[in-house]
Amino acid sequence: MSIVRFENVGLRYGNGPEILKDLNLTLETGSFNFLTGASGAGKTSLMRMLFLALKPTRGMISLFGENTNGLRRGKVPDVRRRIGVVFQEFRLLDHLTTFENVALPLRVRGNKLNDYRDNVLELLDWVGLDHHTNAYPAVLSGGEKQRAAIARAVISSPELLLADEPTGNVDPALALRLMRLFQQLNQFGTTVLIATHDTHLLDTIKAPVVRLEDGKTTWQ
Amino acid sequence: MNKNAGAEKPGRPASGFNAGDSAKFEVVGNGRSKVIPEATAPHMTLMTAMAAMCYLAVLAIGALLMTDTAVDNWTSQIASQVTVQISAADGVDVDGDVEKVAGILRATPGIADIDVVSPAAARKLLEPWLGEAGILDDLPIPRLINVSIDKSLPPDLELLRATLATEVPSATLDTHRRWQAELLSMADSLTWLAIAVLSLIATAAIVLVIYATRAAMEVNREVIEVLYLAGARDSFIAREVLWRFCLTGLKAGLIGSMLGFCTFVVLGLGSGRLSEPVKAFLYHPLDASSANYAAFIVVPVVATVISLITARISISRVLKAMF
Repeated sequence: MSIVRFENVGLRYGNGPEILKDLNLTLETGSFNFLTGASGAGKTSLMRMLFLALKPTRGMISLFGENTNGLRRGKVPDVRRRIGVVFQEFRLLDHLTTFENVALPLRVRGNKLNDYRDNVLELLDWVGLDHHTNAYPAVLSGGEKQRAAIARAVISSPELLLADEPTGNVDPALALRLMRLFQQLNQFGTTVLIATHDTHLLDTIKAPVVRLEDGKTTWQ
Repeated sequence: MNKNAGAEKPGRPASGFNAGDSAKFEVVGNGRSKVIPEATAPHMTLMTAMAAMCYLAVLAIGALLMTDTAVDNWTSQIASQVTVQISAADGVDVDGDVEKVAGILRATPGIADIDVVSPAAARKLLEPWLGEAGILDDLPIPRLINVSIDKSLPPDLELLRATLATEVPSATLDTHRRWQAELLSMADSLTWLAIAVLSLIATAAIVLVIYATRAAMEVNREVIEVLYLAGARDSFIAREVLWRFCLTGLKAGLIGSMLGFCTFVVLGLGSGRLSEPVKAFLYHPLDASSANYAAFIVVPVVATVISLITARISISRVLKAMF
């Protein structure tokens, strides 16, 4: 069963040229996939469409079996809550502690601190940030920030995890260790799509690769 | 989805990052810092401008209340008194006519009291204009009778006018209704002027809040985007931003109201230098009545409500435009 389906999706910014053309893509539930392509190929745009931060100019995107084209604004958060997102630039909130950053998805759902405190602490322990529970992002290293961002993305057990260049700001050794984290999450049933142009990573981790070239996708 | 969902707990394998020990780190503080940072929004600027608006609003309301009090006093005095004038034309027995009119007035129901102004007192009234020279002795000065009306059972003034016209042709009744109407008309104009001023102040306050809200949202665009991606609804983000605007409006209202209150107290103290007629007719210091207290309380309340509603609408629009 597919969790993500693109049908003839096209995207252009303003009156510019179409950067994604007649895109057809299906991701199976529980799969682990890479999305690759040269810089500027449209990987980030595709990811943004997947977490509903961007609407396609044409075509149809289906998430969790639901057509997102006619999705009402009020329903968008419901879909986003089923998706975890990791960014290359981490996007942690500087004024919140590591604990508060990781707990954010639960907090915006209206959950009480007492209900999620242990979950968050346990996850911080799992990603090796338990000793940084009360630290602010400014004092974390790049790798620690990325692990905090990953923890934030998975704290609510999303069905789909999207990671845009998650290893772009960390050294190769740490990149591999982060990939192991993603693989473990995938083993728990989360569908994973990682956008990367790191060929070393693609060679090391054996997983289906979607290549984005000239605005179109091909499977490798 | 499970509302309390967390990452899988049972059977989670070692990630390679954790030490594997069970050492527990606790959350310091309440673990729920403000999601939208407070310092980034231009609240101090907004509060200063809003406080100035609220101060002006209090001045406008205070001035309106003072005018209303003055007009009430004037119209009340005018409404409770009429005057009968007996002209001193040639061939008229003025003293006899005064007696006749006094008799008619005393017999008329609804008249509480009459005060026949003596010729000496009538001359005294004219002295400021005509001087104390002998000219007044040569002039046929009309006689006046001040009539106090029983407000609970007022007389039929038209009937009284007709009776006087028949019985004493030299007597005319002045009910002062023209002055009363003009005063009420002036009071109406001042009320509308105050309403216009208050509307302008409210409009300016709304515009201020809109700009401040937009600025706050723009400054926090990155944070809001992260919140959206974390699954936040508009209502959650609005709540996070709104309480601060609510507080700013309330503080500004209280500051403006306090300053306005102090201004009227100072004006009240300064009124000691005014002459009695001016104080009696133009300046009526605000007393400690419930209506006046309400005026000072209503400004902070309205400022808070304006901030709340405007910010909520503005936030919704900005969010829709942003994402």
